[in-house]
Amino acid sequence: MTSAANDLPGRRILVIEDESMVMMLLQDMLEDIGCVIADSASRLEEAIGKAKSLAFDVAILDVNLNGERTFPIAEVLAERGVPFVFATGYGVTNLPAGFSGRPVLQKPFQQQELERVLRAALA
Amino acid sequence: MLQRSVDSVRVGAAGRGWSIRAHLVALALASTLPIAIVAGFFAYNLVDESSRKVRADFQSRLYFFRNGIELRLTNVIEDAEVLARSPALQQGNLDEFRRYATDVVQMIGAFAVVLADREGQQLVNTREPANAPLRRRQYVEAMNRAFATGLPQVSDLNIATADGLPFISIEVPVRVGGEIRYVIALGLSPQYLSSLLDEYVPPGIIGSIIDRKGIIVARRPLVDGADIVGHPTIPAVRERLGELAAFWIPAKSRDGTPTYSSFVRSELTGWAINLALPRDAVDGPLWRAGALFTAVALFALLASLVFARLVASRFLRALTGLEQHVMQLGTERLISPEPGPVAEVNRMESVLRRVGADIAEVEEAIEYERSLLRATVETMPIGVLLVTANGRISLVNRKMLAMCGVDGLRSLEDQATFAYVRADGTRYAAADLPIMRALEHGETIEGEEVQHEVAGARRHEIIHAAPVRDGAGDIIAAVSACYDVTDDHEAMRRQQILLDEINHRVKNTLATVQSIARASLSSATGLKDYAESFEQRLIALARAYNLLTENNWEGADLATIVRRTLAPFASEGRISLSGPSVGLTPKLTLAVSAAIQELSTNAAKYGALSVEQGRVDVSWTREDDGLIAFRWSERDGPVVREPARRGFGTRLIQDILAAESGWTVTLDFSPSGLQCAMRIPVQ
Repeated sequence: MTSAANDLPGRRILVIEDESMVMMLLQDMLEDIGCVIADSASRLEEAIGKAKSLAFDVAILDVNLNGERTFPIAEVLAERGVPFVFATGYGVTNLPAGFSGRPVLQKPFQQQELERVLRAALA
Repeated sequence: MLQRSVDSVRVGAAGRGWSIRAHLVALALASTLPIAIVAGFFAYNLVDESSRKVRADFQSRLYFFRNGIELRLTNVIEDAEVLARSPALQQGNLDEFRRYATDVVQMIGAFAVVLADREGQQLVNTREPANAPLRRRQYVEAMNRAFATGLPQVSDLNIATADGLPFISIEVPVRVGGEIRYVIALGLSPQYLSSLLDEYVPPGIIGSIIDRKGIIVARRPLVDGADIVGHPTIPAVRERLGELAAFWIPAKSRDGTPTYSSFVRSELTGWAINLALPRDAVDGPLWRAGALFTAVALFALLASLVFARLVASRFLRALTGLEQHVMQLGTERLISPEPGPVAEVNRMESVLRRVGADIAEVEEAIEYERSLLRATVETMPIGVLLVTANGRISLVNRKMLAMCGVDGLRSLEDQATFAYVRADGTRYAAADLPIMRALEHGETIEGEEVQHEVAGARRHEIIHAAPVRDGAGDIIAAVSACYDVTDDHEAMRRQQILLDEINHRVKNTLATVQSIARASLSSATGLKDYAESFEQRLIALARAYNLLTENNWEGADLATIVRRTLAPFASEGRISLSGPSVGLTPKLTLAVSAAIQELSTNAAKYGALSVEQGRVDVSWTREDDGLIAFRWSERDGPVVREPARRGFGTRLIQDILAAESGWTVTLDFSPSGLQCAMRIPVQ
C-alpha cells in the first residue's frame, strides 16, 4: 500500500557500487521495480562528484568502495538533503554516529527488501 | 661481604683494647711486682732489724764502756780510800804517809798523790821531793766537792803547772777523828784511761771520755797520730752534754767522717762517755741492702720480662699469624696455616681454614645460582627490571634494554628512556612508573597498559610490577616485567579487518551469485538449461576465487585468468594467448574473469568454439595511457549473426563492464567471428 509520496516507479536512482555483479543485480531489480537508473559510479572521487552534481531521487550507497569507506559521499548526500540508503556486506554496527538512523540494505537482499528500504528513504 | 667485615674491623675497632704484647708485659709486671714488694718489705724489715741490732749492740757497748771506766776509777778510788785510811795518815805521820803513797803511785801507775787540806794547801806531793816546799793547789774544784759531799770525786781534765801535762785527779776525803780533815788527790795521766779505751773501743768506732767542761780526757783512735786530750769535743756533742744520755747524734768526726755519736753520763765522774759510729757502719748496710735488693729486684724483673718476652714471642707469633689469617680470609678465603706454638691458636686456625673453605663453597654456590638466574632473566623474551632503594637500577635484562632502545640504563629519572604515556595522553612522571609505585608504596600492578615512545615510534606495552620484601616484610626492592604487545595488537587489528573483509566479500559473493541466478534466468530456455548455465557461471566464479586465493587475494595475472577461464571450453591448440604480464586487482580479476567466461560460453555455444576448427585469439597490450588494450578474436567458426536479444553475456560485457569507469568495450558481431575489444584501466 503505497502512498504517492514514496511511490517508486519512475524514480531516478543513483547507484554507487564497485562489484559489477552486484551492480547488475541492482540494475535488474530496479528495472523490475520500475525505477530508472540515473547513473552509477564505482570509484570514490567519481561517486562524490556525481553525488554532488547529478539530479536523482534517491541514492544507493555501498559502504565500501575498493576498500575505502564511503562516508564522505554520505555526508555530501546528507548535506544536499537527498535521501539515500546504505548497502553493505558488513554488519549494521559499522555505520558512524551521524548515520546510525539511515536505512540499510544488507547484502544479499531480495527485491522486496530493496523496495521497502527505498520507500523508507523517500518517506 | 666478608671483605667488608674484615675491612670494617680494620678501620673501626683497631686501637681498642691493649695489644697482646702490652698484656704480656702487664702479666710479667703483675707476677713480679708483688713479690718484689713483699721481698722489699722483708728486706727492709731485715735491714731495720739489723740496724736496730747494731744500735742496741752499740748502746750496750757504750754502757759497758762506761761501766768499765767507772770500775777502773772505782778501783782507783778504793785504793785512794785505803790510802786515806792508812794509819800513818790517821796519826798524822806525813813522811810515812808519803812513802806509803809513793808505793801506791807506783803500784797503781798513777801520776802522783797529793794530800791537801781544806784550803788546798798541799801537804804531801809524791812528785815533789820530800820536804820540798809545797804550794797551794791550783785546781781545787773537785777537792772542794769532795770536802762538801764527803764522797770521792773525780775532777775534770787539768794541766799540771809543773810540766804542762794533762791529768785528772781522784779526790778522796780523809776522815780523821770523824771529821774530814784532808783530801787525797790521786792524779792520773789520761793515758791511764786511754789504755782503757784501747780495750773498749773496737776499730772503726771512735770513743772518747769527755769531762764536765766538754774537754776530751781520752780519745781513741788518735787523730793524725796525735792524742787530742785537752781539746774540746765536737760541737754536736758538746751542745748536748747537759743531757744524761744522748744517742745517735748525727755528727762529723774530726777527720770528716760522718758519724752517729752517742754518750752516757757517768754519775761517778760526771763525765760523758762517748762512742761514735761511722754513719756508714749503720746506714751503710741499710743502703747496701737496699741497693742490693733493688739490683736483685730489677734483675728479677728484667729476667722476668726477658722470659716473658720469650714466651710472649711464641704467643705473639701464633696470634699475629692468626690475625693475618683472619684478614686473609676476607680477601682470599683460603688459608693454609702451619701449626704454631700455641695449641688453642692452632685449633682456631684449623677452624678458620674450614670456615674459609665453607665460605668459598657457599660463595661459589651463590655465584652459580646467580649466574643461572641471570642467564634465565637475560634470555626471557620479557623486559625485566629490578630496582632497589631510592630507585637504583640493580638489574636490567637485554630485552628491557632493547625495548627502551638503549645500551645501558642508569636511572629511572631518565625521561627520554622511560617516556611512557597513558591512554589519555598524559605522561608518566618517574614516581608514577609502576615499578616506583611498587617500590615506594608496595603496590602490585598487573597488566598496566602504556604507550612507550621509543626511537620515534609508539609501542604498546603491558607492565607488571611488584614489590620485593625481606623476611621482616619490609620492601627492599621492586621488580617489573614488561612486554610489547604492539605487534599483537596490530595482528588483531588486521585480523579484525580481515574478518570484516571476509564478511564483506562473502556478502558480495552471495550478492553476485544472486545476480548470476537472476541473470541466467533471462537467457534460459528451460529449467535444465537454466540450471546448467547457472551452474557454469557459478563454477567460473568459484574458479576465479580460487585464483585469487592462490595469490592471497592480492590479485591475479591477466594471462592466467584468461587461460583458466577458457580451459574448460577448449583445448590448448584452439586458443592463442599473447600479451605482457599484467597484474589485476581482485575486483578487476573477477570482472575480467566474468567477461571471459561470458565470451567463452558464447563462443562455445554459438561461436568459434562450437566447431572443431574454430579458433580464438586473445591478445593484449599495454598502451601509453596505462590502459590495457584487450582483444578477443574468433575465427573459423560458424557464421555470426547479430543476436536478436541481448543475452546476459552481452549485457554483462556491453553494459556492466562498460559501466566500470574507464572501461571501454566494443562488441563486434563480425560474420567471420565475434570481435571484442576492451580497454581496461589497470593501476
